[in-house]
Amino acid sequence: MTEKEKHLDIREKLRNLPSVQASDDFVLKLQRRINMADAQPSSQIHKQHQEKLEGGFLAKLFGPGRNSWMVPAMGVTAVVFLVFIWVFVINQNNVTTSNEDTQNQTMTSNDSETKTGGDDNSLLEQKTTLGETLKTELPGREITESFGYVGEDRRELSRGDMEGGTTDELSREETPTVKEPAPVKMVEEKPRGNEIKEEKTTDGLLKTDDKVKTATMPGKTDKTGNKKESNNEKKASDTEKDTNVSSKEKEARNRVARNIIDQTDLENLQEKVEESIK
Amino acid sequence: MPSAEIDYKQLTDEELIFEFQKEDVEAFNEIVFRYKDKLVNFLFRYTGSRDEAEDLAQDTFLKLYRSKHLYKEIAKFSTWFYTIAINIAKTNLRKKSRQKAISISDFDPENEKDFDLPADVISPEESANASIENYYIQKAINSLGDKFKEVIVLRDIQDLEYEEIAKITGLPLGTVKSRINRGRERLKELLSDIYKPGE
Repeated sequence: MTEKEKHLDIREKLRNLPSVQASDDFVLKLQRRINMADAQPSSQIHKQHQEKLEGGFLAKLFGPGRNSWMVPAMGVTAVVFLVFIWVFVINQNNVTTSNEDTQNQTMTSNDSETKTGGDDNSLLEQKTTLGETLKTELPGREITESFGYVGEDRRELSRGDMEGGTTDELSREETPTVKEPAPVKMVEEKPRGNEIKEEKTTDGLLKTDDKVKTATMPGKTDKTGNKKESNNEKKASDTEKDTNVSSKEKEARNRVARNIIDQTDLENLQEKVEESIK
Repeated sequence: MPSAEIDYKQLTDEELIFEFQKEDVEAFNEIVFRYKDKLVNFLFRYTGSRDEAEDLAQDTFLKLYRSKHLYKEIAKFSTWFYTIAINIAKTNLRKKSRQKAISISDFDPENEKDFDLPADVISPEESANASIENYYIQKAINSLGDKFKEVIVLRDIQDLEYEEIAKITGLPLGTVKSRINRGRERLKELLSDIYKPGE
């Protein structure tokens, strides 16, 4: 049974219903209502229409009758902006991390130089702390720093003393070394640790001073190229000389040490060191 | 911008609305002339009230007058126009049912005269119906649910195509067909219940 054959009777009845026509005054009434609507200020109607159209910022951008090309354009812009921000942040993080790594490397090298033979990490930390404390609290630090690297100082001093030189000559010799820039890679220089170890075993007072200086001013002695190699050779020869320390040298060294640091300060310093070690 | 050279009777509905979009009021008058009876008839069958149908028809024309710029040539003008009419009718029906609910809630059992039940006798309002049978058919249509009523009126009274009805109601074509079928069955049942020709 097809759709046309179904419910034929009811369909016939519905189709035969008389058509209702609009009243004669329908058009007049409509005209009156239209005139009333027109009597409304046109600006108000326009405003209502505008309000409907301008639903919001997004409707203004992407609404009907607006620039449809703005949808992909805005999308691409947003993606580019996000990528830029992401790359910028990543780079910033990398730079920060590399800086931190460099600092850590420097600190580790300093610590290893401060270390006088022991491999224990706790001892290393202790010594680092000790070195920092001593550096900051050491009286007459400015004077000692003017001499440059203590290891060099001592060698130059002993050489100078042996050759009849004075501390003034020594400072004149070493001052340019102090002013030189300090490249980071020079921090990794190893042989100095052994020298310090030797010095430490020979002299108690200067041992502390040496530690301070090696911990805080390793870069100041850095030199580049051949000059560094010649310095190493000098160091080797000086080390041999140092092994045969005469009483005269000891006196001269003590005298210089006295010039640098007062005995009383050193005692206080030793107390502090002991306390910090405890 | 009326043009005396244009013969509006020869123009299609779509051409008329495009003319009206160019502020040609004569085109609007031609649309009113063509659609006023159809629209009033449709709305009368949908609402069951002649006065209401006329008011709603005027609302529909007023809406067309104000929103002429919204018509785009993506559908037939009649489809768009009936969609406006049916939306206005539904909104009106919703308002009425809300008012009815309020009046029922205010019903005082001691004063029953305040609450008027629909009269079973033929009132002057229904004088458009030529016979008792037509009156009962209209009553049966009014008893149908909204979802059946709109498709039955559009199909069997206004004689629109299924596709057009689907566009007007926004329903899938299959749903429209099944609703029309079920609506007719329901109408038949209602008519057999409320109207027996022998009585």
